Amino acid sequence: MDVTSQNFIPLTEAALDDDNLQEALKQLSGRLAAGRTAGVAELPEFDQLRVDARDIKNHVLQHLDLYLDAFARQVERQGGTVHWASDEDEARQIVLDLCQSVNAKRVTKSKSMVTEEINLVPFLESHGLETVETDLGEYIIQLRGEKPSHIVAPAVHLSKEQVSETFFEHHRKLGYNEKITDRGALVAEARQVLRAKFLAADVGISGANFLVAETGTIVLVTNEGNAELTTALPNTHIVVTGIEKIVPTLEDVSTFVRILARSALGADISAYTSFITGPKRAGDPDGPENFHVVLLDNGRSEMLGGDFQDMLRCIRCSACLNHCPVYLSVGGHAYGSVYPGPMGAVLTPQLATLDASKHLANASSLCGRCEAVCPVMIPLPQLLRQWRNKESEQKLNPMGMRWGLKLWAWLGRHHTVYSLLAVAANQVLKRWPRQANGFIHKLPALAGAWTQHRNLRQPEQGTFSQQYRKAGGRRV
Amino acid sequence: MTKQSIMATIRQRLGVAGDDQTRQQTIDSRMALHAKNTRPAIGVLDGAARLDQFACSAKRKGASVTQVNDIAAATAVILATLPAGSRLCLTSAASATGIELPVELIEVWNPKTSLENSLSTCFCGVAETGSLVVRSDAGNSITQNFLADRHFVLLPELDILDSMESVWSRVREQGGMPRDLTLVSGPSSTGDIEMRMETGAHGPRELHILILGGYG
Repeated sequence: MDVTSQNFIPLTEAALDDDNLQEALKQLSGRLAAGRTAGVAELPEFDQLRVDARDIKNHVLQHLDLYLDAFARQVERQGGTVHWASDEDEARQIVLDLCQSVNAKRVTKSKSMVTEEINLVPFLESHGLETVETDLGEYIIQLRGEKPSHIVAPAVHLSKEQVSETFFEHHRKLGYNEKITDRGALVAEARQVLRAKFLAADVGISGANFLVAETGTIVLVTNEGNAELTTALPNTHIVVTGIEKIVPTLEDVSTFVRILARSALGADISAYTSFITGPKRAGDPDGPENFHVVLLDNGRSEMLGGDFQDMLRCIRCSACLNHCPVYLSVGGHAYGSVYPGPMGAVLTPQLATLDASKHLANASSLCGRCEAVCPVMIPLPQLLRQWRNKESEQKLNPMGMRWGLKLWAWLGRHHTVYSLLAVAANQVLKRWPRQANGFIHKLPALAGAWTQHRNLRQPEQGTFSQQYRKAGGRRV
Repeated sequence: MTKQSIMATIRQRLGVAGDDQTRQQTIDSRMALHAKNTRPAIGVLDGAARLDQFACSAKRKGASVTQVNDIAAATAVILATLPAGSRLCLTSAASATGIELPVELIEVWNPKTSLENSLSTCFCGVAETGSLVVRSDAGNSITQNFLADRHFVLLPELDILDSMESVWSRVREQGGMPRDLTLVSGPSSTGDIEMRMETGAHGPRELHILILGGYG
């Protein structure tokens, strides 16, 4: 997976100065996180559903080979074809070959994070296939040549004025000469433009939220209805998805339907939840004749049995993004990966390289909100810590930091030296030129790294140990 | 080749053998049992409470819900809702219900041009979420549920099931999954511009549910 996560630090600085983005992030946290809180409060069984969901996924991961086999057998029994891709290159080539085998010129696509992961659309376009994103947010960022900044709301970083500019620029050639800024009118214009694309498409490409092994069914969740038109109108439907999306039965997938929309935005269910099983049947008035499922590994199988297996439970609901103080301060693009936020910080080093994405695991206060809201109970802070450990083991962090941590660890184990240094620092800081508000704004040398971004409260009394003894505390 | 290598990695990482019969039996029996997981209290309602849950939940999502006694009353509601000069496409299953509409109001279905109104039947309703279950079959063009601006759906009261789990039992009794089975929960909507919900993204802007009492 291509990433620009190496630039995380300059990208965050730019993001913090971007007023448009900051306003958008405020809206995001106000609407999605608050919506989730209200939605969860309505369902007393929510925590039990999370336990069920975690256990189902863990059971599947322990039997993943067999469930994949069962799923593939069912797809083929229904007349579909299953293709296996070990990496991005293989997956893209399979999709291109399938499009070319039916002489496709025009492709519509519904929203899918896996196709973002493998950068599918630019690849198909470079081979002469007109490929149109049909989810409104994805369509907007496709016109702008951008990447998604959120896994559920890909254009959340944009204002309606920016959308208006983009539509005016691209739709003028289709006869839309008026610049509109009303949200409803923008949605209506996109509906008209994209309706023509839906009806003309030769191939429809979708992802899958879940794969049901029992029946060979793929499950798609949308609010717009674009996945339904993408999959029902063209003569060929290609599904591109990850091998970890399997659930055993229709009863099991029902548990996930109950928690997915609720975790994302607080709704009990999305407007459309589609269960698609194979190609058009005899007698059906519509539907595609050809049905293909491309199952992508891309590093997922390597995660089994290791430190990051828990991450394979992720259902891409975005609750961890919507509750992360870091994501909500810098937005998705700063992460330099199509998977941002806490889930992205864990997944990106696995799908790209740790060297390229080592900043991401460190961009967390480990406050734990992500784990608290995760519908499949992924211990995200623990997984972030594991990446930090690996970064240190592989000596990818700066030498000064490694030695600094070693020194800190040594001090922590040598109480007398630690106390002497604490007393010395306390004495120096107490005598520092006093500021009116009791804070020190600037310290010299190494200590200046602390005061560059924060103020330090000036001590008025002794160290903690000194005060503890003075108050009559005993050594324990 | 790729399949074998992915499978080999999975088995090696899990430390299992591919021909382990115990593991195969574990998954086969799980898939055969169809055991239900936790169902919320709102997913196991009966009688009037179930009907109430369906209607409240569907209305909350922006659908209109009208209870009628018979097809004639349903027709009256449709005629009162259709804007003047507007025509309606019926799925063949909807025509087969015996609904009688003035012939000048009927439009022959064509996905490229039929944009206004559509009338269809559904497989069943789900009370827990106020959802309609529509499906592709010989009598129902699935796209007729997604393309029109205004979608009318006939739902016999007795076909309102408590939860998704009951839908799956009915699907299995009736020959298994169709190509497309979709839970429609309210009109089409999007929150992709500034996180504000707008209706009518790609599918119907209006969803009108007509519950036929004592029918079915």
